[in-house]
Amino acid sequence: MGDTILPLLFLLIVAIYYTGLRALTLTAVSVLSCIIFEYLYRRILGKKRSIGDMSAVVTGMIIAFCMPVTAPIWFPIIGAFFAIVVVKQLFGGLGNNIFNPAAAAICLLTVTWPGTMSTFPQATAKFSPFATPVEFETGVPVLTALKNGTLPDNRPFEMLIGYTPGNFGTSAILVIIIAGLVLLYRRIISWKIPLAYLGTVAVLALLFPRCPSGRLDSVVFELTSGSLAFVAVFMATDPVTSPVTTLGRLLYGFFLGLITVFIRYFGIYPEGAFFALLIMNPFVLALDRLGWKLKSKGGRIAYEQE
Amino acid sequence: MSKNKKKAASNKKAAPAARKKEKNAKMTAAPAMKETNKAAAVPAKGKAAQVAAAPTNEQKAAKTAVEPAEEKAVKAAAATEDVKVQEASAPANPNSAQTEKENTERAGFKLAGNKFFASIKNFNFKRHKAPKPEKAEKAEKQETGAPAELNKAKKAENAPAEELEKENQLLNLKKRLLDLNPVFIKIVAAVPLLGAAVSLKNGILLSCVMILTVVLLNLLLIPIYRFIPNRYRPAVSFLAAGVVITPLYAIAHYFSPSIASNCSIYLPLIAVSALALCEKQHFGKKYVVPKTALDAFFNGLGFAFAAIIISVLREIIANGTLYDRPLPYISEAKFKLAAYPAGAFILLAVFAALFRKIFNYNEGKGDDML
Amino acid sequence: MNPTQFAAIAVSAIFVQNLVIVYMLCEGSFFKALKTPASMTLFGGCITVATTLSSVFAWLINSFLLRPNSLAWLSPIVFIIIIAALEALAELIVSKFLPEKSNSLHKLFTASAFNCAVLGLVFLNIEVNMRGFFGAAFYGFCAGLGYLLAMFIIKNALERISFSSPPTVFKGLPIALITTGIISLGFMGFAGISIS
Repeated sequence: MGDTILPLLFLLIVAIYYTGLRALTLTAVSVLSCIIFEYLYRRILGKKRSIGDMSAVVTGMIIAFCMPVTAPIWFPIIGAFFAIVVVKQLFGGLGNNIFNPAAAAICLLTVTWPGTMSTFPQATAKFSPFATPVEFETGVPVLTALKNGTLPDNRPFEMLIGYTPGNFGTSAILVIIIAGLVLLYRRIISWKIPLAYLGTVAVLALLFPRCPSGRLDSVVFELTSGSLAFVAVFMATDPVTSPVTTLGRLLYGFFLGLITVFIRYFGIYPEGAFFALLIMNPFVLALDRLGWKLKSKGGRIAYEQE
Repeated sequence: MSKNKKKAASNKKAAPAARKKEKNAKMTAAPAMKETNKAAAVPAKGKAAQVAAAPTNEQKAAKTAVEPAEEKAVKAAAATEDVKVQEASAPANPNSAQTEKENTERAGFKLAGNKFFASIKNFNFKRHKAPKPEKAEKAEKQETGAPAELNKAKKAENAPAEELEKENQLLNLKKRLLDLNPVFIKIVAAVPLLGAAVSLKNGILLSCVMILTVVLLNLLLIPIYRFIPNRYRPAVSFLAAGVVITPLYAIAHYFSPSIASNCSIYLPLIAVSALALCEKQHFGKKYVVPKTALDAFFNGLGFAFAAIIISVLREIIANGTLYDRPLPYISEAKFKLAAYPAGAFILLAVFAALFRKIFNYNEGKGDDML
Repeated sequence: MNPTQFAAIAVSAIFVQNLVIVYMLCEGSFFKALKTPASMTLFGGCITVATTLSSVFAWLINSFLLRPNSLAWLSPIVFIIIIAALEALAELIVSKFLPEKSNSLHKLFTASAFNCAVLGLVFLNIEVNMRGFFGAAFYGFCAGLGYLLAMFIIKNALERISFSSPPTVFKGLPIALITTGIISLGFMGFAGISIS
C-alpha cells in the first residue's frame, strides 16, 4: 500500500500549495477517523487487527481528496464511518468487500449534501486550517460550465496543473498522470481499465461534444475536469473490486465510461464517476465469468448453487 | 341417531318399491292371504325403519288389517305415503306411549341445551394443556425398553396434546411481536414499511390499515378457504385482499388525504403484504375463527411495532421533526439519506440484525428467502 | 411518439424508476427466484409479461372508466381484478394447450402475478397525460426489463457475498439488504434524468 500512498502524498502537497493548510486538516481528520473506526470495529467484534495493512490510510486520503476544501470538518468523519464500517468491514474486511468503500462514501456525501459538495472556492483562495469557511467566493468549476453549455474559464494547460476550482485532491492532472505511470511501472495497477475508461469517455466526448468551442477542446475538458482521471487511476483499478480477466477489464472500463458520460450529460449531479463505480461493482463477477468463458474457449463455469 | 338415519334412508329406498307393490296389488285383485301378507309386510318394513314413529305405523297397519282388501291396499299405500310425512312432522296423537316418548325426547333436548349453555359459560380460549407428569410417565415407559406398539400408542395419545399446544401457540403475543416479528426477523411484509414509513403520521396510518386489513382478511377467508379448490386459492385470496383494502383505502383518502397521498403507492400494496402475514397453515383446520383472527391481529401488531420504530427513526434522522413538530436540538443535524431508499434498506438491515441477535433467531428455521 | 421519447421512457423505467432498486418492490419470491439463472430469466420474463399486459388493461380501464366517473378510490380492487383475471386466463391457456406442465407453471404464475412489483407498477403507470397509451405499454415492458436487470445485479452481488464473511448476525438476508441499499445509493446518480 505504500506505493499508493506516495503519489497521494504528492497530490496532497500540490493541494496544500494551492489552497492552504485546510487540505492537510481535512486529510488528517479523514485518515485518523478511518483508522480509529477500523480499529474499534475489529476490537469490539474480537477480530484480528487489520490496521497493519495501510488500506485504511489510503481510503481516508481518497475520501478527503474528493471533496471541496470548504467542506466542514465532520464531512470526512461521516464518510469514513460509512466507508469503513458499513461497506468494508461489515462484509468481512479487506478483500471481502463488493463495493469500493471510498466511492460509496463520496456517493453518500454527494446525495445527502449536494450543495456543499458542489460549491467550490476560487482556485487561488487560501484557507486557514481550522475555521470552517462560511463565506467565500465561489468559482465555477469546469464541469458546471460544461453542463450549462458555457465556455469554461480555464485553458487546458491550467487544467493539467490543477489551477481550477474543484475537489482539492483531484485537480492536478499532471501529478495523477505521473502517478499512474509510476504505478503501472511498479505493476500495481493494470493499464486496461484506465485506458478503456478514459478512451470511452474521450470517444463519447468526441462524438457528442458539450463544449461550445469544438470537439478537441471538449475531449480535453471532459478528460481533465472533475475527478475522472483520479477515479480512473486510483479507484477503478482497486484490485479487490475490479475484474481480473482481460475482457472483463475492458468491458468494465467501457461501461464505466458509458455510465459516467451518461450521468454527466443527463443527470443532476455534475460528477458521475463515483456513481458509475458503485453501479458497476456488482457486475464484476459476471464480467469475470464472461472473460473466463472466452479465455477457456467456450468452457462452462459451473454455478455453485447447482 | 345415525342408525335411524341409515334406516330412514333404507326405508326411503324401500318405500317406492313398497308403493309399486301396492299398485300391483291394486290392479290384480289378489286373494286376501297375499294382501294380508303384503299388508303385514308393509308395516313390518315400516316398523324396521321407524323407531320414533313406530307406534303410529303399527296402529295404522292394525286398522287396515280389519277393513276390506281394496281399501286395505289403498290405505296401505296411503300409509306408506303418509309414513314419510309422519317422519317429518312430530305426531300429535293422543297416545300415552307416544307422549311418554315425546316427553323423554323433550327432556333430552333440555338436557342438551343445558349442556350447551354450560359449555359456553365455561368456554375459555386456552384449553388446558396436557399435564406434564403424564408425559414423564410415558417417557419412563419408553425408556424401559417398551415395544414399538407402546410408542405408537404414546404418539396417538400425544397427538391431541400436540394439537393443543399448536393451538395455544397461536395466541402468544410476545412471539409474534418479538420472537418472530414478521418484518424484522422473517422479513416478510417489508415493502410498505421501506417505502412509506418516512414520518410518524405515515407509520401510524400504515399500521392501522395493516392491522385492519389482516384481521378482516382472516375473517373473510377462513370460512370459505375450505371450499375453494387448491388451484384457485392464491387468486381468491388476492381478490379477498383487494375487497378488504378498498373501503380502508377510501376511508384513508377521505379522512386524511395528505397523509394517504404521502404514502402514494404503498397503501394499496398493504393488501399484498397482508396476505403474507396470514398464516396459511391455519386456514383449513377446525380452529375456532376468533383464534386465528387473534393470531393475525398479533402479526399485524408486530408489523405496527416495526413500522412505528422505523418511521420515528427515519423522521428524526431525516427531518429533525417528530409528528411534524421540530425537535429542539436535533433539527439542525439532518441526514437526508434516511428518507431515501438506500437508507431504508440499510436501516431495515441493521434492525433485522439487531432483533436476530437479541432474540436468538436460528438461520435455517424460517429464513427461506435466500 | 418519436424515438427520443421512447428512449426517455426506457431509461426512466429501467434506471430512474427501477421497481426493485428505487421503489423497493422486492419480496420473498424475488430472492427465491435468484437461485439459478434459468429460474431467474423465467421469473423475469413472467414479470415482464405480467407488467405489460396489466399496464395495458389498467391504462384503458383507468382512462375510460375510472377517471371520467372520478372513481379513483376503486382503483385498488379494479387493478387487482385485472391482474387476477389475467393470471386465471394464463392458467386456462396453459391447462388447455400444455396440460402436463400446468402444475409446475401454476406456482410460477401465482408468484409472478400476485406480486408487489406488478401491482405497484400498475399504480405508477396510470397517469393518463404523462405518456399516452403506447407510452404506458412500453413503460410496463421496460419496467419488467428493469426488474430483470435488478435481479441480475443482485444475484451477482449475492454470489460475491457468498465468498465473504459477514458477522453471523448479518448472514443471509440482512447483508443482502445492505447490498441492495448500496446499489440503490449508486442508482441515485440516475435520479432526475430526463432525456429530451
